[in-house]
Amino acid sequence: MGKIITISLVTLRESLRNRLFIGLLIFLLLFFVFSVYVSTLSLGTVARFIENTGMVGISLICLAVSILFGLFTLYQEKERNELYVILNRVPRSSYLIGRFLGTSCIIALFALFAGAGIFFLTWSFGGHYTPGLFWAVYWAVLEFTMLTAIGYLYYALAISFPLNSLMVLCTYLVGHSMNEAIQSFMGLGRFGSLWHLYLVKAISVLFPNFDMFDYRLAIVHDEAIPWTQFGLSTLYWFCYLLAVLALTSTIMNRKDM
Amino acid sequence: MTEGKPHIIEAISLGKTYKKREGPVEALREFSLQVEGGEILGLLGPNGAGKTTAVKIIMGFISPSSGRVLLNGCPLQPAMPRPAIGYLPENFRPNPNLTVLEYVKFQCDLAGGSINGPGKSRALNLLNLVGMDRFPNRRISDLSKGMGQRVGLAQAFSGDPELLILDEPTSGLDPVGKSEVIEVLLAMKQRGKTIFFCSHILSEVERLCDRIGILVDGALRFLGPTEGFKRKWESSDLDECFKREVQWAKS
Repeated sequence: MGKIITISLVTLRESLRNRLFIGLLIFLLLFFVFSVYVSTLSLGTVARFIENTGMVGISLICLAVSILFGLFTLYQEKERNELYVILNRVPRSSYLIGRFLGTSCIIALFALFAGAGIFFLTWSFGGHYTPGLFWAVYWAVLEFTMLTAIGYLYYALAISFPLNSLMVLCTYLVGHSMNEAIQSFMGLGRFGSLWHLYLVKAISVLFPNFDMFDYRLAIVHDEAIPWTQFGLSTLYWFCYLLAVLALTSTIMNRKDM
Repeated sequence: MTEGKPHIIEAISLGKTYKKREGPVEALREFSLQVEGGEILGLLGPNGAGKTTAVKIIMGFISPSSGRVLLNGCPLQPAMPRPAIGYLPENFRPNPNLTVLEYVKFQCDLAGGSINGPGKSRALNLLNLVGMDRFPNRRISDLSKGMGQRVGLAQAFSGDPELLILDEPTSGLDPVGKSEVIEVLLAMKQRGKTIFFCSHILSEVERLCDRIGILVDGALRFLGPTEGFKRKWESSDLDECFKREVQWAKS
């Protein structure tokens, strides 16, 4: 466990010193300025505009962090042959989990920055107090740590970085279309047997289903998220993450590096 | 075996075949060698001879198609870490966003409890050993290639391993850098460390090694003292002997 923590702390430290970190912070600030500007064009719904665009900002920044810090650094480490030095000292699964935890911390850090920024802007420009925005941070962390784990799986399958990024992007888009896909496959509930419904639902859960973490509408409208829904989504994230990381470790242990 | 003691490392009939689109490529075949404790063994071969493949199999990064590797008489499993071996890969570049001390300390922390003292003091000792103690707080991105290689050597020593495996430790270095690395390796030998390294630079092999292995097209053509290799080809010039061996193997 100590070695996993050592790797995750180094991952965190190197990410904080990376020039990309500053670049992404600047991007985030520009996004804040943009969301405030756009909100001034609205008629009396400034706070809602900032919340809406701000939550898109959280997703964009976390996606960028997931690809640039989560995946790109992994490929760079292999290119520098540094990977072999680490794998000489720790099992491949420990390396993977250490890297994943470090990247997850960076995702959480950025999501928190973004969430706090939107909270402040909504409060100061829109005069609206929205603590629910911190739930948006929570859901973003779950969603993008899961996406990063999927990116690690593609890495273990020896997919190149550009293709991996593209596949992660596609997974993200398709994962967010799952609810619509279920509806389409079921013909809006008019066709198919009960087994058909179970099959479609099983596929949508396996793929993965990022709609499980999409509570933006509820947050914007200050609606409470039911605890059962909260628990189900969190459990789904936990089980999915565990399964993907276990599969990635198994593949990494079997393949030539 | 030496006086009943197992060899520090022993490769037995290693083979590796890669499946390529154009058909199977045999990178290594019937590769067997033994490294004795306290010696420096250099594995020589032209580019593409299979040196790195052999090292990666010994280190467990790739699994052999046939054969096995023993460390102190115990079989090694592929894909498992080898904390008893210090390793420096070819073209190694440490993490550019860390300082020299942070990086070596990181490796000391990973190397774990068998080493003396806390990670930081151990890291400083290692930097002293490789002559990098004047730059502990310098960013790795600001180091020259030779300095980076010395950091690489420091990390290889971080677990206080009995065996060091180094893949082309002087490649890409200028003559001064090469000489510095060789000095460090000789100092390690004096401390009783066993060193197994790959190279295609004959002068450094001649200066460093007790024994050499000549690998051509995946097959080990010679294993023994440098003098024995020179006698084989009846020449005092190692360069000339090596060329003749490669030509003979290819013909």
